[in-house]
Amino acid sequence: MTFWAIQTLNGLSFGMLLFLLAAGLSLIYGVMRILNLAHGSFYVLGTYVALSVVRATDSFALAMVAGTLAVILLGVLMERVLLRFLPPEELPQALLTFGVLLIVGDLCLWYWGGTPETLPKPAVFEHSVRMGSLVFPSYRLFLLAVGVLVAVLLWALQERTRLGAMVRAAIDDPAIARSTGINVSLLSSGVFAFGAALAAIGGIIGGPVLGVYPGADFEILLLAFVVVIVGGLGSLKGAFFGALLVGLLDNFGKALFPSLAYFTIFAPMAIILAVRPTGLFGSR
Amino acid sequence: MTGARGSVAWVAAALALLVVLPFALTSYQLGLLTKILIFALFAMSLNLILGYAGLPSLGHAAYFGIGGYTVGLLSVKVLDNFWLDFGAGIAAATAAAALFGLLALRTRGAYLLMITLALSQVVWGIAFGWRELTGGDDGLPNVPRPGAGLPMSFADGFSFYYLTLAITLLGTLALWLVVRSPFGAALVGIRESERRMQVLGYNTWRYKYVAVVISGMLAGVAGNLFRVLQRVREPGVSLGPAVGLGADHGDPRRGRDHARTGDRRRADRDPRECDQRPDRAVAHGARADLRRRHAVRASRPPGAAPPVASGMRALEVEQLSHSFGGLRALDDVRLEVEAGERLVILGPNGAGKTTFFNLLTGIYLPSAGRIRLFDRDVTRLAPYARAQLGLGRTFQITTLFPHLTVLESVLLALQGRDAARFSLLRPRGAFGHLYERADELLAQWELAERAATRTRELSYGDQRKVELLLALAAGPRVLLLDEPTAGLSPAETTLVAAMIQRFPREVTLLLIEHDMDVALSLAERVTVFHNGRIIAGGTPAEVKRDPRVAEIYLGVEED
Repeated sequence: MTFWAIQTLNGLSFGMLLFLLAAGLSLIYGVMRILNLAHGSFYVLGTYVALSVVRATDSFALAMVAGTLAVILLGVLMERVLLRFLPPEELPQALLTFGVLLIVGDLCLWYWGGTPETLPKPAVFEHSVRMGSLVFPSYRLFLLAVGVLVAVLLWALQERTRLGAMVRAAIDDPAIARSTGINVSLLSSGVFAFGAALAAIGGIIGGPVLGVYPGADFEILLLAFVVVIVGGLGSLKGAFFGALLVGLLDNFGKALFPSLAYFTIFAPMAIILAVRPTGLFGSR
Repeated sequence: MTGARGSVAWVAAALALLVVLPFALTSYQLGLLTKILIFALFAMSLNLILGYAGLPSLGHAAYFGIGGYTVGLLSVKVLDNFWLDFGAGIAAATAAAALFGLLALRTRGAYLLMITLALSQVVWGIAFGWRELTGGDDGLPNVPRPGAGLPMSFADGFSFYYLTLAITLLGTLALWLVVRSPFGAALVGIRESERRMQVLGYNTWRYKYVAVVISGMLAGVAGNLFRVLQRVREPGVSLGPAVGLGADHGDPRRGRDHARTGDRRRADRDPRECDQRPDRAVAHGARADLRRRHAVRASRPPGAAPPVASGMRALEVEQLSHSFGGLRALDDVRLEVEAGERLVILGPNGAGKTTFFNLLTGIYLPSAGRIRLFDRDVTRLAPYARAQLGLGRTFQITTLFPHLTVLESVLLALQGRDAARFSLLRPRGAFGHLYERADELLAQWELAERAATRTRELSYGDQRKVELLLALAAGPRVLLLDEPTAGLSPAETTLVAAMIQRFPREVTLLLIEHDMDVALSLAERVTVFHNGRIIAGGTPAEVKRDPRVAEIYLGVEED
């Protein structure tokens, strides 16, 4: 009983981190039609910057802000300097963003070294929470809460605000959105920066649990891919439920069949792909 | 011709260099050269799907790795025999490509990129995680160089280089044959416009799938050679998508240019010359039959009486309906068209005319109703299968094969319903009857001077003519023309209308047209669509008099 409860919590909280990544990936694809392979870099870079700031200042909150800002800066630079001038074809975009992924990965290795590092947990979350006979680490519950909060905020932003309506319009038809007076170019930069920030936040709040190490960028990117393949690219709902599913599958896979962990994620992905090529909630 | 001879000379020189070079190299340099050859083979295999078929794959390295690991494991743990191990390695890579292709080809674009990357990572994950079998990140030590089972040993770097050279050349030759064949031409056509290839009768999925399998097989061959060269298989070196990407990087453009120069050369050559080559093998009977069919069609003067017994139904549509979400685009449409008839479909924008065509050709499947083509129910048939039954169409918005010449495009259209379309290893030039027929058509429709021009460089009027010609070249029995004169100047409109007028009489025509003069001059019967329903029909004169038609189509103030 304890095993199942704890593993479910772990899976769900990991799923929430994946949701932060997949939501950004999905949003960027929706507005800009770019499959951003450098999304893994945002995740790793944010965590590394946060690590340095935490070491220097001992403040998790400050580290969170600094890490997120650094990644937003990288995101805006990438969008303004590199991506904007690419032809609207998948392959050049994939190659360029993959190049950024490799370069950022190597720069991180060069600066922060190859040893796996873990962010210190904020002191508030050192204790555990007791629920009847079960004991939960409070940080995991915090992750879960952050994920749900972000999901609700994103949903409200997209469905209930003027800005969200503009984003939806740009997703549906950029040309017509532009002709109705929406500044799609500015919107694109904004969305890219926002997606990058979500990835950085995911990396930083996941840092105390998952740590950060060379290759983590690629690993998390792949899981985020599986999430959007399962859930459907460009769909917030898809990213949310896809992330929960993949988080649980990954966690139980690793706990129950450690040597087959890859299959517990990829086999369901293959099945979903065979039945619904555009994912559970994908439109096209 | 000098161009061809020149390239033969270059190839010969490069080959000679590759043969003598090892004598001047240190063993390190020789190893490097061997590696270059192996990666060249790998890159060429990737180029088949990326450059020719236009399928962006990030997971090609998986086949490389699977080939390598299979050979490595078998030779270390089971039996060291070149034929067995090498064969099994290729078989494993091919099987993996066949499996992954089934999944990956269900998707396109960004999904295809993600799925190929994810699948290759599964392979990497197994190689890395299953330590007992693969040695994990330490790799698989002591893979022997091939010797056992062969007449001589390739254990030293020198002879292994020549083995690699021979195999790479064989692989290159195979790929060269494939891309020059009708199959290769079809792949390029799919890259340029998959939708058009489907309505020309190509089962595009099958072409892409075969390309993926061939490409995976050759990547497996490269992986086989690489594991022996490295002696130790370790994941990361070959399996990381970095290698796949490295190969991607420079390749697609080169591949494309290659395809273009190749095609241009083919196009410049006098087509007749191809026919003088002795025709061996492949579908002799079918070809003779086709030639007869083409000859019949070509010899009939335009405008002659329809040879088909009239009264036979070409097309029967029963209670056809289609909705987009909540919008009922087509509602209970019933229509019968006699063979050889020329029917014009009129109706304001949004009346459902193009939706009707998309349902007839199978681009959409209807919400309800039946479609019969020459008494055969085709309601659920794929677009290519309907095209094979003789249903052709043109598109309202011109989407030709932008980078192909007019001649190449017509050849693709002709080949679509020819036995030659599945030919994989014979050069397209050997199918002389296709070139002959293409020449005839181009001359007949006054496009001969444009034969070597790329379609995207044509004037808009010429593009519309090519659009019609492609549909006609596929040899349709029923042809759907979607606003063939849209966007043309009055002079061009007259030309295109005259072209349609001269279409063979036995071809049943359904024509969507906004230009009243064109419509009424071509029509034997008119059907009027409005809000997804047919509201009137009859001879042009009857429809002209119909007050409802005047009201919705010509405007009420006219009475």
